[in-house]
Amino acid sequence: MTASPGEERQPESQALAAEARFRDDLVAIIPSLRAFARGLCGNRDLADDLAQEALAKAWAAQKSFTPGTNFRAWMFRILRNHFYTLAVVAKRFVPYEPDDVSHLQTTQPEQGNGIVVQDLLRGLGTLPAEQREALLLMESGLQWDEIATVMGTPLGTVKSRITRGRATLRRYMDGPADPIPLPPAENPKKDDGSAITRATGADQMV
Amino acid sequence: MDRLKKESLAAGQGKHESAGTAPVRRVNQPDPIADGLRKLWENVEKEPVPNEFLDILDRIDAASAKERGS
Repeated sequence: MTASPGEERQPESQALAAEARFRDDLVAIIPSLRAFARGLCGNRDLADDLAQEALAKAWAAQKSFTPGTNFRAWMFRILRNHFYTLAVVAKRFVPYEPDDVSHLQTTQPEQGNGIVVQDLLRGLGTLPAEQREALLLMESGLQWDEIATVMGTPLGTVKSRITRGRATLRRYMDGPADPIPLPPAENPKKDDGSAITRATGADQMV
Repeated sequence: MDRLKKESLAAGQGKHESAGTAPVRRVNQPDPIADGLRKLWENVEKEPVPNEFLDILDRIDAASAKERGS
């Protein structure tokens, strides 16, 4: 049986509509994508390059996106995967380079406990990328299981990285009152599979 | 130890969250790091999107139009 021209056009117009929706989603997520990249790279120009490349990759990979699933998580995963690829292959994002304050200081720091964003970016730059990523995603609006999906790790590892990143960041933000080097046990250089074990221990502790 | 415990609580680990919940913290507990991180997101998200991003979308549109035309 031969399909009539009308029946052939229908799937095509549906595909066009899906493509248009996908494009709208891409446009809508650009600000968040830039924010995530900025937190990962610390530097505006590098971050925008990363975000643009992630956009192009997402467009090329749009068939792998399942409509109805979380576009934000899917997009963040593309960006972070690309970030790690570049970091490993080209060492392009090493060292972390926080840039000029004027790019970020759009609001005045609050009194008291307020943190200046630029200081926070510098502090993030002292962390292993995996911990920096976990802390950023914590405030990204994603749910725990989505954060784990973005990072491609078990939830326990996500929480462990957040806990350790927080502890290091807190010490950094508290200032250089005492320039004593951190004990090696509290300043792990590598984040390997053993994090899962440690996360379980930490969960039991609290 | 006490500080670590507080930080863990602030990170939401003190509560038995399921994977489908968003990371939350106790409202009455000041958490400058989470506040700073949120401010970082908000500040960048408020920035005007640079033209380079729109250029990429233009290229994408041009490529799709060409694909449809062929």
